[in-house]
Amino acid sequence: MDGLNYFEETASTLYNPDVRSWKQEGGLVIATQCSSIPEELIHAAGILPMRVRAPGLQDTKNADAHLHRINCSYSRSVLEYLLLGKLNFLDGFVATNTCDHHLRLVSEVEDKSDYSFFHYFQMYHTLGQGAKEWLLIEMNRLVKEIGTTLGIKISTEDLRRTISVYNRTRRLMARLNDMRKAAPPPLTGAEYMNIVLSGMSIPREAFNKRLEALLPELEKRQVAETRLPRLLIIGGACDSPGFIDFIESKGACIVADGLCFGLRHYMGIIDEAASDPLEAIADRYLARIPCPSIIDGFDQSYAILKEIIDELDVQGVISARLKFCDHFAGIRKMLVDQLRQEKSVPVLELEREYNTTSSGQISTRIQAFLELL
Amino acid sequence: MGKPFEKTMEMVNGLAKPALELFKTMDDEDAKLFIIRLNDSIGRLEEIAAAITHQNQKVALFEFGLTPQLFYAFDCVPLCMETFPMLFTANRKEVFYEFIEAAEAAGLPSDVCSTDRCIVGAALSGEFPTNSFFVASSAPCDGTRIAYPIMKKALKVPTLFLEAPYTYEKEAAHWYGQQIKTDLIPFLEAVTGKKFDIDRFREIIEESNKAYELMLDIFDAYTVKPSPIPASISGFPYASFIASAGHPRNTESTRLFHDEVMRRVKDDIQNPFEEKHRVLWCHVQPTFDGEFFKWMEEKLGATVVTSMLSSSPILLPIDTTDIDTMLEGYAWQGLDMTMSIMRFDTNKLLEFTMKAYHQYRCDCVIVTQHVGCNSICGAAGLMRRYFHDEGVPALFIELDYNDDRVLSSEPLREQVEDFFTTIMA
Repeated sequence: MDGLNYFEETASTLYNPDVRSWKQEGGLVIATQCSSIPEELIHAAGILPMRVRAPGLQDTKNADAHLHRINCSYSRSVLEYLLLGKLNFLDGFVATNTCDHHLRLVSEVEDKSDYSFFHYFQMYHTLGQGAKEWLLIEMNRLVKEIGTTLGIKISTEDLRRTISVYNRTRRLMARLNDMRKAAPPPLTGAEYMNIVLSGMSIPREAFNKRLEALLPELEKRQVAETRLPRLLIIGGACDSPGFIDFIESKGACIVADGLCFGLRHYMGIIDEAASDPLEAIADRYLARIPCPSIIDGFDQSYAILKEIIDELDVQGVISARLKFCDHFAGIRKMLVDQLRQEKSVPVLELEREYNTTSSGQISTRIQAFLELL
Repeated sequence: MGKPFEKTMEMVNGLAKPALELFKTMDDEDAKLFIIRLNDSIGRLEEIAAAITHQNQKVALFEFGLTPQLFYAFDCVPLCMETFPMLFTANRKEVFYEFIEAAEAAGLPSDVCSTDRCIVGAALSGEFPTNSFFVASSAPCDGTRIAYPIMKKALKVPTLFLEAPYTYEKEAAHWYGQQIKTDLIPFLEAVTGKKFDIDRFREIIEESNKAYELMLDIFDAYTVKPSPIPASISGFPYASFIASAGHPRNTESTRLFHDEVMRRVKDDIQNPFEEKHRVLWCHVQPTFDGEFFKWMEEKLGATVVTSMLSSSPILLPIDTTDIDTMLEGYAWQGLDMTMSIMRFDTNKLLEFTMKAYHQYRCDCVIVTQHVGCNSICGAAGLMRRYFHDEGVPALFIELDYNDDRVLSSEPLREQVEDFFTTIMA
């Protein structure tokens, strides 16, 4: 399908043709380290925000000299990308301390890069009023830093325009997710992930146009009648369409996710009528599916995931935890306990490295899980 | 499922009390210090055990992002969670292993910090009081942020999570203090059924300020060369403060300890070994080998004079002028006097480390790369380079500070001995 090829191409590399064009026209690109950083503020400054990833990386031999082997392979891969010069096209970096792996990556990036713009966004770790206040303090700091360092003043009107663009994306993504309720869905999980990643890797307005054009094509798409088990995947830094494809190749269909590169990025609408757009952006971050680093976020996470499981007729959950990710270990345990208590769907507990796309052991475990279903 | 605090009191009655009696019979300069410490610990644990049997009294389970004064102001008995595993790691290893296994059997992976696995395992095994409530902050680490939500579900007791700012500045302390005012105080009023009494709080803060000032004096004495007391006991004032600041027992124990340290400085009483090296320990020292520091001193002439975590009482005592100044000071103690300093970025951690290094006149650094701590392990790259550039001799040891099954005493001692007999020779 031609429309999907574009998304695959722009997802597969950070410095993709769209970004090259953006840069050639004098545009700035600033990386964000986590889906919890309100990238809307960067967009409102007329800068292209890009969620930092390390697609196609095979090993982290240089980064391993700086970060420890118990630091997650996502953090080490980002550092490796930086050390290899693959992030040289960036004009800035917004780092954060969502977890300890990220926290230690902050100082490494600061030490080993020479971006004219480097900002440390100090993340909230609870829900509720305290977190909202803290998030707003940090958002204001980021706005101020963009003004001071880059000389770009972000106005209320800029924020409102951005909110409108981002809401457009999130509504389109919601439509796309609605299509995945069909049995079988009109696109595979791997195809879906390419769309997701593309949206984080190109100018948002261009993405909206492309996605808007794609949706009618998908509505008309003919897919073979199959009755494959319908799965939901959760995990942290899973941005590998290859890994999703590998799971699906065993005879399953990924119809939903609770991933940072997925639902966490695209869920929720910002109130366009709110008197304070910054506060409205903060509200959306706090209302979406929380990151497992949010100490009191499990109940909110569970309610959202359970609704998805029911609405999309999910028959099993795959937890693809990155090795050494404490937060996903915790949420996995609580999720398994809660789903078991409610006699809901089973969970397959996998552990993977950031660049894992396949392995014999994982293959066997997926097959056994699918037989169980 | 055991009875609450059963294993803890077995340890107190079976080991701590006999040890206390033994020390009382010893004609040893250091015995006095160990007697002070044991009396303090036994008193504190017995108080918790007594509170468990009184349904009208509440046990305040809290984590390192707070100190205990506010809980005393509501007549609660505090138990600092992070100090709990250390009760067992040296002397009742089988209990520690049992708790670890309980957590892992329930689904926590073995790569999560052993402190957090032990706490979760203890909760799942019924070791914690049920007439309790639980308060945790979102700092300092991944381990606590997953252990405490799991514990909340296991214990089914009232729980409050506070947002801990990750910055080191007055504004952050003020903000955290306000959150204590708007969230924690009403929570404590609800769980205890008691109204907040500012005069009572001030009384307790004033009590803790006395211990605090004594502790600062003691820490000043640690800068004396050679060190006036053995390393194995030097952490006591800090540990006691974290566990029971605001309680008269803490003040009295600290005063006794203080007087003994000062007597030694005044009379020039020295440790019975030649102090060749003064060590700054980064992160947590191994807790599973009770003889380790003594061995370092006797065999290598190396004394651990302070640690990056416990050397941080560099603040003023809490200002008791009004509720806001008290809460801001109290907040700052919780944020920056405890393991919460691990929440800082690596450069700030290094700043703290080097301040202590110079203040305590150290000549080398040992860094624990605790295998469950993503934070200290992730900081090691920059730390190593910094120490190299600054000419600070540093040893990095990969171990689990609680669990001798990861690296036992023998290979640990070998690494340390190699460092002192080669690099430091």
